[in-house]
Amino acid sequence: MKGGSTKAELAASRRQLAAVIDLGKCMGCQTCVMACKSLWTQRPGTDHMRWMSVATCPGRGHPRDFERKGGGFAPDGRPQRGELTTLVDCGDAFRFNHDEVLFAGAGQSKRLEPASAHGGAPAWGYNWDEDQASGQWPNPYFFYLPRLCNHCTRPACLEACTRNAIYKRDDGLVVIDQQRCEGHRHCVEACPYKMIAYNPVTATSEKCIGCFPRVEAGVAPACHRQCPGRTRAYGYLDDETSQVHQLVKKWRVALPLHPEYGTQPSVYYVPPLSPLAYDEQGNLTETMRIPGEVLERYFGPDVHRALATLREERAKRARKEPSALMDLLISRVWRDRFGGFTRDPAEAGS
Amino acid sequence: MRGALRRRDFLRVSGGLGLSLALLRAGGLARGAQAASAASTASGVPAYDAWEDVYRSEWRWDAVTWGSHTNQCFPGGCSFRVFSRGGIVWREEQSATTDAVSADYPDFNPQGCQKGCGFHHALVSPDRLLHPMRRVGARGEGRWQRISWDEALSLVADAILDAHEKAGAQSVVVDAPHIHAGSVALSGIHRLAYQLGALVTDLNVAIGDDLKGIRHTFGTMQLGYSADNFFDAELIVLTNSNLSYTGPPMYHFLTEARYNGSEIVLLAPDYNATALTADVHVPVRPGTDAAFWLGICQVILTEGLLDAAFVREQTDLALVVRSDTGRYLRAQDVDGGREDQLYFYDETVKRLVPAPRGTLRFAGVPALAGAYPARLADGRTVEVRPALALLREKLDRESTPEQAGAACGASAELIRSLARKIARRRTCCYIGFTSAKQYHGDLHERSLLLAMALTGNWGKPGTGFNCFLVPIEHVAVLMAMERPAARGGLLGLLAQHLRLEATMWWKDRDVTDAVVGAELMSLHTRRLGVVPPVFFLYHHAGYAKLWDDPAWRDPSERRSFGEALRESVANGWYDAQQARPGPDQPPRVLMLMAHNPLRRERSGRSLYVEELFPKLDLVFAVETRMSSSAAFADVVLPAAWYYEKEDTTITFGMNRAMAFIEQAVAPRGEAKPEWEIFAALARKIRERAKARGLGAYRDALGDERRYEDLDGRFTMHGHLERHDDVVREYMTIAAATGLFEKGATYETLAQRGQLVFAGLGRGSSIQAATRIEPGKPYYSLRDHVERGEPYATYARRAQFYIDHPWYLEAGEALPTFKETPPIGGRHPFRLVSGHVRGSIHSMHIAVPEFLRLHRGQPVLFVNDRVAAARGVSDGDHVRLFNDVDAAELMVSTSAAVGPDQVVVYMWEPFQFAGWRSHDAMLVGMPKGLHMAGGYGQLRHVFASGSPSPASDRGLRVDFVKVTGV
Repeated sequence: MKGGSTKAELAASRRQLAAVIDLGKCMGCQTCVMACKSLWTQRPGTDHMRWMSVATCPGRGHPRDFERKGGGFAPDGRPQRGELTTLVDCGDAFRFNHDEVLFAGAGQSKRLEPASAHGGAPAWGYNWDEDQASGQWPNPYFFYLPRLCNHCTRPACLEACTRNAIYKRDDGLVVIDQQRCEGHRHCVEACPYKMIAYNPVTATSEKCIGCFPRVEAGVAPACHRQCPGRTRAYGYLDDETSQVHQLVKKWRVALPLHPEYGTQPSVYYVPPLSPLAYDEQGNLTETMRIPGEVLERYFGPDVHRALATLREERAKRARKEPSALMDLLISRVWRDRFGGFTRDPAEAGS
Repeated sequence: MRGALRRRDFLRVSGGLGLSLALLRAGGLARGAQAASAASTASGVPAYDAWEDVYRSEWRWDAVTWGSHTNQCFPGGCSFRVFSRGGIVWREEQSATTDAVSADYPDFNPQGCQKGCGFHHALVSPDRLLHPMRRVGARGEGRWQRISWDEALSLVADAILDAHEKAGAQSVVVDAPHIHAGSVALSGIHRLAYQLGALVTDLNVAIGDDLKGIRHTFGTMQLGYSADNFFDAELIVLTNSNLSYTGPPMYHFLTEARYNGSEIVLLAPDYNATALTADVHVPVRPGTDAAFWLGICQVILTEGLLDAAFVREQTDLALVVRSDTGRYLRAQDVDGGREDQLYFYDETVKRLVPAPRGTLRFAGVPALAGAYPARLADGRTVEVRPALALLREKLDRESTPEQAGAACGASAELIRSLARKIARRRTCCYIGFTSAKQYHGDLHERSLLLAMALTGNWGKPGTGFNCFLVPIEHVAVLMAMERPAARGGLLGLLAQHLRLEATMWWKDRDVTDAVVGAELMSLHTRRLGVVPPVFFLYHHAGYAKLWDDPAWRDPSERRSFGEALRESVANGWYDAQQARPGPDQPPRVLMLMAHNPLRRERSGRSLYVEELFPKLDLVFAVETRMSSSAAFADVVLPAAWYYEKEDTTITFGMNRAMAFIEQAVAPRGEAKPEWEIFAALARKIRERAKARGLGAYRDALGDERRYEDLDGRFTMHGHLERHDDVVREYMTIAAATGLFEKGATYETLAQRGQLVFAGLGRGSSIQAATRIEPGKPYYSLRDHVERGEPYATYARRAQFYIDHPWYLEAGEALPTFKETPPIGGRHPFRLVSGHVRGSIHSMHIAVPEFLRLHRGQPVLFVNDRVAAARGVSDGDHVRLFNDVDAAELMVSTSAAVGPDQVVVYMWEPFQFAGWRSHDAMLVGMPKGLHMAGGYGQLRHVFASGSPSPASDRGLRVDFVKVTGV
C-alpha cells in the first residue's frame, strides 16, 4: 500500500495524463476558473482557493508573486527552499455587504464594496492585475496564463511531505491524501508553482485533483472540457493518437511553464502569437509585440523554435497549403481534443 | 506493494482511448462517483486511496435538466446541462451538442462562458428578491415591508386604474422591457401592455443597439452571419467590439480562423483583450472610425481597386445627382413621374435612363463618372453626375490616407496596406454595438459599409458584417395574437399582410416583400404601443435640459435636439401615435421589467430619480434581483429566474440554435414566473375595475377595450396560463414560419435541449435576404447579390447617398467624418466603455462569486504613464468628472489604454459612493438628425430607427486623485 511506500514508489506512475493549453486561443474569460470553483471549492475553508486560475501576464500572477517564492529543484537536482503563500496571495475571498446596501434602509449612504476576508479594504485579490498590459503605448502587450496543478513527473510537493500524504496515481495525477495530511504545508513551500492552498477549516493542504472522479468515468476534467476558447487538449502523453502527444512530442510546440523549476510538469503551453509591433513612425514591423525574451522567461529557450514553427505552419495555411499542425490547433471536432475522455458528464451519472 | 488493482484495471481498460464503463458499472450503481467507490470495496480490501472518495462524493447529483440563459448576451442561447442536488442547482455545464455544419468547419462546442457556467451562483445571490415588497420609507431609502402577492397586485392594479381614469391608458408606461427576463416574459410584458393600451418605450433604440448606419444603408438591421462564416474569410476586421468579453462562446472561430491562415485586424481605441487574437491592432482614436474607413475608400478609388460591377449593380453610387440641388434626379423632375424613380446615365446608349426599381439587374452600363445634362419637365437643363463622382471628389478633398491618418491616429502607410488587403481578399467585418453608442456611429457604419461595397465584400461566403439577425417572429407574434395558432391565430396576421401587400402593390408595381415587411412591422409597432424612447425622455424625464444645451451641439447641425424633435413632428414624420407621450401626456405609472434605467439610461441615475420619479404615482418593478432602479421602486414583484421557470432563448444569428430551458428547481422564496405575474395582474385589474364599476378604456390605436375581457384575452382564455404553455405555442408558430426542421415539435425541443435553425423565419429571411443551406455557414444579402433583389431603401439599392434635405444640410448625404461633439464639456480624456467581462450588463454584477473574479468594485483603467504624471498610482481612488456629474472609482493602470483615453466598463450605481455612477455623466445625447423622416428607411419600426438616447463613447472627461480614501 502507498501508505508505507518509499518516496520513489509514491512518485511512480504507469502513465501520465497531460494537458496542453493553447495561449494563442485563451481569452482570459475565467470560465475554467468558474467551472473548477463551482465543482471543487465550495466547501468550508476553500473559498479563497482556486485550483484553476487565469492571470494576466506578465504580472504578479496567481498566487501573488509565486515565481518569487522558491521551491522546486536546482539544476543539480537539489530541492530549493520555498516560502508559504498567504490566504490573500491565493486570492482572498472578498465579503460583501448586500443587506446593508440594499435592504437595511441606508439610502445611498452605503455602497456595495468588497472587504477582505481578513478585514479592511482589500489591497490584493484574485485577478487583481487583470488586463494590465506591459510595454508602452502604442505597443502594449499581455497574454493570459491559465494555471492548474502541473501533476509533475517529479513533484516537489511529494518529496517534501513529511506525512507521505502525497502520491502519484497510476494515471499520473498527483493527489494529497486528505486523511493523512496534517497541514504542515511543506508541500506549499516546495511547490515552485504554489498551486497548493491551505484549508484553515480542515487544517489540510488541498490542490487540483485533476478531476479524477470525472476522469475515472471517462469525462474530461471540468476546466478542460468547459473552456469555450477550445484551448485545451487532454489525454495520456504516451497515447500517440492523442493531441497532447502530437503537440508535445511530435510537433514540440507545447512547452512546460518554467522548465527550470525542475519538476517536469504535465501541463504544457502553446506560446501565444501576438499582433505585430509598430515602429516609431507608426508603421507595422514584422515583429510580434510580445518580446521573445519575455516568453523565454516563462517557457524557456525552446519557445523561439516553437513560435517559429507556429508562424511557418500558419503561413502555409495563408498560402492555402495544408498544415497538419494548424488542423490540430483548430481541432474542427471539439471532441478530438480530449484523448478519448469524451463522455458526456450528464450521461456518466446515469 | 503499491496501487490498488482497481486503478490498474482502470488504466488497462481505458487504454488512453476512453473508458469502458463495464467496470464502473460493476455493482449496478447508478452514479459514476458511487460506482467508483463501490469498485474499491469490491476488491475486498479497503484500498489506501479510499480517501479519494471524499472528492468522488462531491461529483454527484440527483437530477439533470436542460438549461440556458435568456440574458441577452452575445450571441446568447448556449445549451447547458443543469445539475441539481437536493432541490438546489449545484452546477451547470455546457451540453456541447452543437455540431459543425460540415467537416470543413469547426463545430460550436462547448459553447458557453463563465457567466453561463456560474449562473447558479446568481440564483442564491444575496441581491435576489424573494418576496413582494412595498417601500415604507422615501423612494430609494431602502426601507421595505414584505407584503402578500394579493396586496402587491392590488396596489399595482389600483394605480393603473387610477391612471386610466385620470389620464388615459397611455399614462401607463412600460420602460424598455428587456429580453433578460426571457422570451416568455418579453412576449408577456408586451402582450399585457398591448391589452392595457400602455406605451412601451422601444428597448433596442433606448439601449443604443440600433446600428443606424446599417439600417440607413440597407433598410434593415436584420443582417448577419453564423459564426462559422469567419472561417471562410481571408481577412477579418473587428471593430467597436471586444468579443473576448462579450462573445466568449464564439471567440474560438476567430482564433481558429487565424490558424487557418486568415489575417485578423482589430480597430479599437484601447488594446482590449480581443487584440490578443489580432495580427494588427489599429488604435483608432475614440470616435474617429469613419475617418479611417474613408481613408481606406480613398485608396481603393485612387489605386483602381474598385469592384465596379458590384458597385453599379448593388449600390446607389451610379445613380445621378443634380449639381444644382444636390438631390437625385427624379422622374418627378423629368416628366412629373414618381418621386422615387431615380436615374442612371447608361454608357451603352449614352443617355439618362430610369434605374429599375423592381430589380437590381440592368442591361446597360451605368456611368460611374462624368457630368451629363438632364432636361427637366419645366424646360430647364441641369447638370447631373453619378454619386460615385461626388464621392471620389469628396474623398480626394478630405480623406487622403494622410488626412485620414491624422484624424484617426493610424499611419497613412497602414491605411494604404489595409485598403489593398480589403480590396483583394474575402473580407468579413464584425461591428460591435459600441458603434451605435457613438454620437456619429451612423457615419462610422456607413463609411465601413462603403469600403465593403467598393470591394464587393458582401453576399458571398466569408464576407459581410454582423448586425442584428435575430429570428424571433414566434416571440413577437405572440405579443398580440388573439387565438392559438392551431385555431387560426396566425390568419389575422396573414390577412393583414395580404391586404397591405395588395394596397401597396396598387400604388407601386415594384413593391417587394422586404418593403411590405417593413410596413407590416410599422403597423405591428403601432398596435403594440411601442414608441421611440426620446419623446418620453425629452418631455417627461428632464432630458431637455441636457439635450438642448447649445454648447454641446454638433456645429454642423442647425437645430437643437428639441428643435429637431418638434420640427419633425410638425412635418408629420412622426404622427400622433408615434410621438407619444407628448408634452401634455404625462405618465403616471412606470413599470420596469429586467430594466435598470439608473444604470442603463445615460444620466438616468440623476434624471430618473430627480425629474421623472417625482411625477409618477407608482413605479413598480418585476425583477429577479434588487437592482439600483428596483431600489427606487414603490413596489417590487419578485420574478423567477433561469432554471426556475421554463423558457427558450432568443439568439443572435451567429449562434445557429435556440436552446430550451427546463424548470430545474422551484423559484426561490415567493418568486413567480413573469407570465404568471402578468396573468395575475390582468386578473386583479379586472376585479378592481369591476369593484369600481369601470367598464371600458381605449388602447394604443384608440379602440375601445373592456376590463372584463382583460385577463381572458391575455391568456387566450386559459390557453396560455403558464410558461410551458407559451413555449408550446412558440413551437406551433415556429412550425408555421419554418424556423426549424419540418416536424420539430415541443417534444423534439425538450428531448434535444436545443433546435438548430432550418430557416430564419419568414420575416428575418426576407430582411436578411438569405436562407440556410445544409452544410454551409450562412450570411446575409445573398438574394441581392445572387438574384438582383432590390434593397428595402428609398433608392432600392444599398444607399450611400441620402439626399434627405436635413442630411444635405448637415453634410451627411455621403458618408463623412465628424468629431464627436463636446457633449458634457471639453476635457482632456476620451471615455471608452463597454461591457464588463464578468457580467451580462448588470445581471451578474453583484453576485459574490463573480465579484471575486476581479477587484470586486468599479475600476477606471488609465494609461500607466499618464497616471504617473498625475501622481496617481494603481489602486488609488479618483474622482472622474465632466460638466454634468462625477463618480469615484479605483484606478487600474495599464499600458493597454491610450494616453488620451480612460476606460470604464458598466457597473451598478450602488457600487459607487453615494450611488453616483459614471453613467450619470454620460448624457446619452441623441442625434437630432435622426429625427429626419418621410424618406424610405428613415423611420421608426420596432427595435430600429429614431434617435437613440445612448451615445456616450468618446465623451470627454477628466479625473483627480481623491485623498483620504
